[in-house]
Amino acid sequence: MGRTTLNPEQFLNWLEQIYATREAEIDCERLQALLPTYVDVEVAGGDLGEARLVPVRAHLAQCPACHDEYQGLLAVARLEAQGRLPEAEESLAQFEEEIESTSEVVPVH
Amino acid sequence: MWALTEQPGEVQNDALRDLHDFLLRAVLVYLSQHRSELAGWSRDDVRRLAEDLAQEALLSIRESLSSFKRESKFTTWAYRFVINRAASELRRRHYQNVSLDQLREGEPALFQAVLLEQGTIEPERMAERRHYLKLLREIIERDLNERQRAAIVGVHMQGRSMDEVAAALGLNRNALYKLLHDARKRLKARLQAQHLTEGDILAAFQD
Repeated sequence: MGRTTLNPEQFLNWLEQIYATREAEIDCERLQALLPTYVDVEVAGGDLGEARLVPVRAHLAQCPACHDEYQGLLAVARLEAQGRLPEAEESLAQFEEEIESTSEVVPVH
Repeated sequence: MWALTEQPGEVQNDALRDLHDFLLRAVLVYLSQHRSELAGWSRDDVRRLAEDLAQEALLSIRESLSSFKRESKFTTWAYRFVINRAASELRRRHYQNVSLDQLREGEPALFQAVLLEQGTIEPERMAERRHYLKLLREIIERDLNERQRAAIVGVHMQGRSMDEVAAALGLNRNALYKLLHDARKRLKARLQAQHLTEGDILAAFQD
């Protein structure tokens, strides 16, 4: 599904994207290969500015699909590092709670 | 990880079972971040999807074990597989065919909505904004080739996914990324050739 054009806020974000363009950028395949390292460094509070990792951040700023996966991996890696990765049944129970709470809305006849 | 490859039968099976469990837990975290895309799904639906994704990821991981270079934790490396699979699956479910014509049709509407909702802006301010938008439109029309333009319109303006626009252009995702990158570099270079910084344009658009 597409929108037709940009609203003012989207326009300014787009402009930022254009100006943030670098001469050399890695593609999605290369990003996937570097992502685990990048996430581990971030979770450990390390230096994301090292030469090898700079292109990762540049790509993530330009690619919503990869950025989404990065956020997912970061969340999981953080939870694991904290020993708080939920058990499967715990996550599923939460899904169920939310399904139930939304279905409690009584239709008006 | 060592147990997955170098140990006999039973130890290997235990390791695989453990890894499967971790992958399942990881993918459920990802899916819960995207719960709005799973509206109307039952707990069992979600469990089935998560199980399928974990299983597929496990197969990929086993095939790719020799490519693990110890540059990250083994678990982070493994989780990436299942999250990538889950993301692809969610994108697949939202996928809509789009034609090159539909992308071309988006060109005239570029930036039309940017000047809406302007409230009470002084005429000079408004004129400045129009000027910059006209300039950007001209650069896009004059300095990008047809495919670069279609890519920018599709992905940046119409908010379509990379997969949808790549298919419309007959490219794979990496090739589309490169096309977009080339287009962005051109746009940036043209703006800089006119000595326009991001700050110049932002100043015109901020109240």
